[in-house]
Amino acid sequence: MQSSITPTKLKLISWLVYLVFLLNVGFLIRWQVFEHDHFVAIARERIVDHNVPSIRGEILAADGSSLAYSEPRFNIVVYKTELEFAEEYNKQTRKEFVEKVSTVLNIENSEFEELFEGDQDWIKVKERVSNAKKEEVLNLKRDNAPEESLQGLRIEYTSKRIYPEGTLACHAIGFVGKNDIGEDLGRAGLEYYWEGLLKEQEGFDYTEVDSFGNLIAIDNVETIEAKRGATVYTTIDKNIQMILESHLENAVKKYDAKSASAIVMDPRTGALMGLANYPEFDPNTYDEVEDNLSFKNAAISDPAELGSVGKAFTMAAALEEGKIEPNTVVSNGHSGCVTIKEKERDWEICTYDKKPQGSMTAVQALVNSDNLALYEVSKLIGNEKFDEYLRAFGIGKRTDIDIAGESNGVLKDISEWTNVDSATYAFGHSYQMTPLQAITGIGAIANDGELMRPYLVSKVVEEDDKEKVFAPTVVNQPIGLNTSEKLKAMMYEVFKVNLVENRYKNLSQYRIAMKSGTALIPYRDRAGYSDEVNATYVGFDASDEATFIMLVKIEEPKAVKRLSYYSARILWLDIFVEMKDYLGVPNVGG
Amino acid sequence: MSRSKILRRKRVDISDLQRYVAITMGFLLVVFIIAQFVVLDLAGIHGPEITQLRNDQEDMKLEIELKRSQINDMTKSAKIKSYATDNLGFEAALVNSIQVEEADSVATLSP
Repeated sequence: MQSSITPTKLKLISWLVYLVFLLNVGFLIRWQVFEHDHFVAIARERIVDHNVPSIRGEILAADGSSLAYSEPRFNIVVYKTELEFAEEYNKQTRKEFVEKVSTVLNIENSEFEELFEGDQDWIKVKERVSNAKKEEVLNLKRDNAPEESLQGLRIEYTSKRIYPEGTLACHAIGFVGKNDIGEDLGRAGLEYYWEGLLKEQEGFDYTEVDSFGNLIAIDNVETIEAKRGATVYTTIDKNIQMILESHLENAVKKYDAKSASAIVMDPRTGALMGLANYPEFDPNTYDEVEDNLSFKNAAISDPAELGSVGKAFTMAAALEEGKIEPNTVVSNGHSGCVTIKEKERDWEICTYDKKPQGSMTAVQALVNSDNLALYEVSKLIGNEKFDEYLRAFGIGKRTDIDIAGESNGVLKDISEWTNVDSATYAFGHSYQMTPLQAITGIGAIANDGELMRPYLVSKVVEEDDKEKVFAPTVVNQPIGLNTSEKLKAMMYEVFKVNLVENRYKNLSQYRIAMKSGTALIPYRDRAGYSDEVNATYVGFDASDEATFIMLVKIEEPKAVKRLSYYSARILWLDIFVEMKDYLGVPNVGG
Repeated sequence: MSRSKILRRKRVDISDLQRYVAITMGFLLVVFIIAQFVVLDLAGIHGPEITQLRNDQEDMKLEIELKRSQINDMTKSAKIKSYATDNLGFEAALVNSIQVEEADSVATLSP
């Protein structure tokens, strides 16, 4: 039998098709226009974002041991909606939850319950707990179903910055604090300077999941790779650092000083083996520090007149310019003071004891640290040349060391020099330098005339093994090898006269070049000087090995006042005695 | 052309076409449904494994960081010095190269 259709039926079917089509269009408009947001929201539930935790990079000492690292820690969070849901369906009680969690986290019950009083759904109850504590919390079981975990708890991944050596090298390392929105941020020292590389990059992925919450393989919507912070390798030698810090602490206490700083550097490369200040602080508990002076990295940030240390620069300039030789008579004798004429008034500059002296050679002038003899030497050089040499030795500008907080120091433009400036610059007064600038400048004498950029970071390695090695950098060469050798010999004579006490006598077997400096501290609010002093000693291995250069500075040693050079001398020599064998300083006899 | 012939032409015989369309549509529907299941199955079949792998990877990274943290703690100067005192019987002055000379043997501790 053949079936057939009449035109009427066909018309009816056509209308039905039109109707279905129109309905279809109607529904599409409804879903895609009027209920667009609703359906987009439903669709988005299938897309979940997932944080991939990472961790801040480490700071390592020269021996590869850690000076700063981050340890994974966990925030314990209560998800209130889930907690109330579990209570509503009698899975657990609030009392049971509070008792169990507060016991493990060591929180008072009442204090814990108070946390639930607000409208917050996501309540952070304990921050930065250890992995063991986190596991303990996650293993808490329900009373009525001992195999099942307590509901309403969530874990957030975080980390804690740890400084395993405590106060050791605290000023060089700095510390990690918080920014305005509570995120970790390097606040000082290496932590601040290298923040961009040390900071971890947290990863994210936005992925489609099935109804069980499992990832759908073919649909990785978007991924940002997590990246561990870079590892920063420093030149800090923990042994040297420990020796420096213990001696600085003793010296500050013994001489009732305001503070003390010390730096040990490899003069051939500029690598800092130790950089210490006292008072110090523990970066693990930086927020408990009461005296802000403890945070100050005076070794790089405190410019001061370092006094006679600067005489080495004056002698270097005169030798390099060919104006003198070590045995040239540079002073024909003086009465202890000379008068310098200025427009407003006359000034008197003197030697430290204001006593008359006979004629003396350049070596004797340096050994006696005679201000007026050095004034005579500076006159031979002339202001313009002298200014060039001071700047070539790095006075008045930053060394560009790779940690935060360095100061410029102070050196007037030559057009502003007065007659008194010309005179006092000769013996290291009136211009200011940081201990770091001083050791860098004197380091050029130790390094055959080449001035090296001081640095603390030798290498940075990123997670993908991308490595950046920092080679030693020669900044300039203020003097030649010949001048360097002459000056080393002159400064060795200075060292020998500093070995006064019997216990130091045999140190003359080491070829150490040295210069001391004692300077009155100028008033901060007016012209002139207070009766407080800074005492500085800088010395280096003048043998061919050039194993080290060390500077120590004691600020306002009240117990010794005008004899403050004594305190810095003893400090320098005691540190040297302790570290000479470790550093392999050659005993050349003598 | 006769009237009966014209009338016959106006009557459309679509029974074969109907059957053909119905069978085709049905077939396409079945194929579509099966394809959907196949795609979803292929897409989601390794979901639990991938999720587990990712979780394992994160656990492993965490474990590495925790171990690293333990090592850092063990190699701090205070621990090395106290190890020297407790186990080797002397006060260590230096931390990165402790040498103990006992008879002919030399032991070196390095963190």
